[in-house]
Amino acid sequence: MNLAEIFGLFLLPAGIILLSVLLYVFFKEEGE
Amino acid sequence: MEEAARLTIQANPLTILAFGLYLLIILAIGFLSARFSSAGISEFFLGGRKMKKFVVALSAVVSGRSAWLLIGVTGMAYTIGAPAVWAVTGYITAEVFLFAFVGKRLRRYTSMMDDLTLPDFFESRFKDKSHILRILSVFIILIFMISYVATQFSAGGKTFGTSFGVSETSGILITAVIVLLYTALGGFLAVSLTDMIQAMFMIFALLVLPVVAISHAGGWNEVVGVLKHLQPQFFNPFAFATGGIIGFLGIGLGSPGNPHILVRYMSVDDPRALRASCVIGTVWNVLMAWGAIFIGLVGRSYYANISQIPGEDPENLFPFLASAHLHPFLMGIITAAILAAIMSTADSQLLVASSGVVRDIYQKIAKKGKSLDQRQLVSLSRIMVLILVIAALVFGLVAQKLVFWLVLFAWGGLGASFGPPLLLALYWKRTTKAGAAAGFISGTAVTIIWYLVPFLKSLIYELVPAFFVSSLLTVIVSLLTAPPCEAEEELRSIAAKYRF
Repeated sequence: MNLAEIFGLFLLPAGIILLSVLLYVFFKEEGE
Repeated sequence: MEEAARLTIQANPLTILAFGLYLLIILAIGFLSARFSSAGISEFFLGGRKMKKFVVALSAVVSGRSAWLLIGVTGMAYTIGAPAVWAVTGYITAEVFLFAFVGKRLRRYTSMMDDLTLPDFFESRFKDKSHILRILSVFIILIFMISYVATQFSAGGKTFGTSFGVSETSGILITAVIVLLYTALGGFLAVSLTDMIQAMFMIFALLVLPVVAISHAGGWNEVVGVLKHLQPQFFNPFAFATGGIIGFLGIGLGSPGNPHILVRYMSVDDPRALRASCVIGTVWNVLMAWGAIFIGLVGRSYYANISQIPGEDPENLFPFLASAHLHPFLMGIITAAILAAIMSTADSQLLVASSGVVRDIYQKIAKKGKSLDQRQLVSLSRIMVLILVIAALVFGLVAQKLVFWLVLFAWGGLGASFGPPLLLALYWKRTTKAGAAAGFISGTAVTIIWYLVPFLKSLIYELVPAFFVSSLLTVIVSLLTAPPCEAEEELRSIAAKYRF
């Protein structure tokens, strides 16, 4: 499988999950 | 009828047992939630804003995913291959931001103003004493939601027909009665808790089937080898027209405007908890979506020619592949998962439509917002759920063509009508009542017009231009009219205070 194929099937879903984790880590509110 | 007969899967006792267990669980939740939901209209339509982060995460995710994910996306991946990933990427990414940012603001504002519904929110935000926004939004919600529910029942009927050999009409009635029982009895709490159980069934089905099917094929490398031999570009997500990719991503523009998804964020006990719901919901969304994509891909390696699938319909791939590879008990879970996808969407839509009549029309307009007996309102809401189920059944049977015609625009129409006014109302103090009304009308109109003109339809998915026009008109008309005076202070009070 080439990079584009690996991107679509594996990196893209992993990237979206990573985005949600980053938002969780960096967007804490006061009092949390 | 011949197609249905060919797809009918032998109803094994173990299949019926697994499916029966699923039904038992969701009906039990309906009965057990009845007492809590009887306390008042806030409990019945919004779970008293006491929902926990895990429930909100899964409920928000599966309410938005109908049978389209299990049946439609698997069929799409079977037909076009890896470019199908764009059809799921748009909405999942949009929902990451809805959980993390928009949902929090919406929860804070609606709680501050004691709003229970989306029309409530628009009326409070724009201090609309004329009720124009409320009437307009309830009208749009009822038209699209009843059509949506009718098509979900119809899909349920087909699933019962193909899985258990009952007639489609009986299947429709069984689906309607089950959804009616737990929704009318248990209200929002039952709908959210059953959504959570349904999310478990869906993710199980969408992960187990591709793993088993790939293993039976001899492993992933074997599947890749077979498919590359058949079609070298099948795994390339970029082997698709740019307009097609943008249109697929544009599906995500529907999420911020679909009220049955938005009310989930409004129901959370603590708005800050949506930060964790974001991760839980996204993991669920991603696993379900890519599970569906992998089912389509591996399905193609088994059935290279469409004539090998019953009815020559790629949307039959999911149950067909499952029947060929799974134990009868797991087949029962697969059937439950398809019905779970259907019911978890129908129940949420039913509740939103019912709240539109009881809360928005009866309590707020007919009774002029007077304080009414809460138990009486809950009883009325339950009766309204029953009436709407009957309406969806009658509408679906008598005006089937009209229903299927309307539902084509439901996701896009709601997304383009409510999405831009909602986002602007939450983030831009200058948004006005007239601007929001312009967004509602233009969003619906452009969605329908774009779909009906073949040349425009061939360019891009109608939601993309409709969302753009609705945003533009909301902004232009808002700038031409006077803003509500308290907007700046209200928006400041709902803004999150981050510590970086």
